Amino acid sequence: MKNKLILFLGLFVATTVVTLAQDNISPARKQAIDSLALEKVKDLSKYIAIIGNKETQFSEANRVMDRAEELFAPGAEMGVSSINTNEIAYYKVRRYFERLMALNYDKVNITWYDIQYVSDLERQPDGRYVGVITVYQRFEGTSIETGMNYKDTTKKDITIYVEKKQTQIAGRTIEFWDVMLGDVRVTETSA
Amino acid sequence: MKHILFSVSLRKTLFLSLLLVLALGACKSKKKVVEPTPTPVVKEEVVEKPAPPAPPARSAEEIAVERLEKYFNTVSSAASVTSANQSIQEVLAMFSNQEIPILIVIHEEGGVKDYDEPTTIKKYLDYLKDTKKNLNFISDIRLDGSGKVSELELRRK
Repeated sequence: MKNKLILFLGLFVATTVVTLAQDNISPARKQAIDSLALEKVKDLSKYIAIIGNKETQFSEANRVMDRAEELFAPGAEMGVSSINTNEIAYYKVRRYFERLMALNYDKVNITWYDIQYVSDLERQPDGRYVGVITVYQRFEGTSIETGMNYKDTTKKDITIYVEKKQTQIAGRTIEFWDVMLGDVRVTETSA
Repeated sequence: MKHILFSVSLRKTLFLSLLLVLALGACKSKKKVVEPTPTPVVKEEVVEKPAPPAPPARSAEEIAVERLEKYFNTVSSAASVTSANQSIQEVLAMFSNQEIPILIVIHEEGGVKDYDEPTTIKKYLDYLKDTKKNLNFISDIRLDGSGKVSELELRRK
């Protein structure tokens, strides 16, 4: 019995040491990376509000679309739902932004709130950190001509990928944390 | 009798005269006492305080940092896209070109800096305009020979 206990403790210590060796990031550093990723999602919320806003000039909306697209991993998709149907459509992010800009309303107001981690960033075997951030989106579209007024609230889960990369700046090698947003999945839709 | 009367009168007169002289003398001396004595002139020593040391002349880098910090606040809090764009153009004139890289330190530990993805000054200014948040301060700046900003490092507040 005593031998088994020693063996168990030994395995536990060995596993802990291996885990720490793989993930040698202090809590303060990890928190800075968590905040960085969260801030990118908040940036996306601002970009979406600008793109959707009917008062935004075409050239500005296109510029912001470029910035918003840069936040995403290649091939990432955005889910779109409606309270009028159970179907959730997925579009490539650029296509989603273009559709958002072209929505047939006179006034569009989009706000994101309660932006927070539902799954903390965790190191994967390939060295990347992966987590999930959830957001609530309030959409309000008003058409003056038809008097149509559509409102809904959707809960969305965004997969976050964080990876350490290198680049050359003025002959210096700079190591930076690259945050990429993955698919945005709709998990709830309500009026 | 008349002689006695005369002698008494003379004595009286002499006595009165003496009293008068004494009284006058007393008055004179009293007047002298009352006379205001000239107050000694106190010479105020004008101690010349040493002038406060002139603030050291600010370097071109310090002046540029101050101007940029103000501009970053102005752009992020601009009331309209037009006014933000105007400020952006003024900032860009301070840089040798609009592709100057901007490094943002998100954390530093043991001398090792963790950076956000590097961006350019043009993109950073647009970022301030779009997100309306100014999360960083200038931690390092380099100017080129013509006084234009050639390198800029920011840090999370």
